[in-house]
Amino acid sequence: MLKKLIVASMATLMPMLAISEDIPIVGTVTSRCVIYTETPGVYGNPSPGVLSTAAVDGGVQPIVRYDVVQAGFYKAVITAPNSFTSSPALSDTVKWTNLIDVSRVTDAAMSAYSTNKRVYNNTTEIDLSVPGSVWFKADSKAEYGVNKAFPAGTYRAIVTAACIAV
Amino acid sequence: MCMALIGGDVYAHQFLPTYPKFQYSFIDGVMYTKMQLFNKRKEVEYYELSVYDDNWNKISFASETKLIRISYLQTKDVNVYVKKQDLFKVTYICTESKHQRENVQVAVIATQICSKVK
Repeated sequence: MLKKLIVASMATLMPMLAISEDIPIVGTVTSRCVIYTETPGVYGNPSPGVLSTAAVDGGVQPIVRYDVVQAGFYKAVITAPNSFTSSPALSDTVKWTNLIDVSRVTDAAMSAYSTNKRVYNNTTEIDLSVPGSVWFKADSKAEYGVNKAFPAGTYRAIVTAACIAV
Repeated sequence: MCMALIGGDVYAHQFLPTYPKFQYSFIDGVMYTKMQLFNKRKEVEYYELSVYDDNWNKISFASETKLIRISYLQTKDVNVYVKKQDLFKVTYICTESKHQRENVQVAVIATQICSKVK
């Protein structure tokens, strides 16, 4: 009788043990804004006094990609160079001309970024109001003095691409 | 899907969370928050940590290191400590890629990501 009772109670408990099994829930938080550096730029030297990233001048435009998972959380702030981070000694002033613009989009609504951008000094701000990927290109041109030739050497400049939470 | 289809040598920088929350630290009068940096830029080994107010003035803070050395594809947790009396000023916590001079190409792209304290 006691044996039967033990067996019966075990049979009742077994499914209960199975029910109390833990079910893990795993979640990963990923960044809502990721900046990809797609193409580092190269200055072309179309004439002795000009350094330019434009393809027609033999340069390569720096291209940066922003991936935004959700809209309205970040703005892109891209600062074009207004000085060289390293260069040979320069005795005259350098005139900088920069243009930051949309290069490619994954959503047609992003084309509004070109018209809605805010430009001040050498910085361009764009509200990332559409989720998806957007590519920005930076045109940078440096002209030395008045028809002067840049001294020989390597010239380096930095484009800063920032993603600022709003 | 679109992102998965994009190929080529692209390098990324991530900084989490977007909106960090400060909590009490083990030091009296000091608050802290935990941030996470992920380096997917092969050519970058260092990121500088900074804290700013809403006018982009720097705010003094403490951390294990302000110049974070991080390998490619590595994730690093960084604690940011701020004095409790400065907490109301803290608006942005940022990391910016730092480039070694010998590794710099002719026109390099520095990346900066800023989280906002609300």
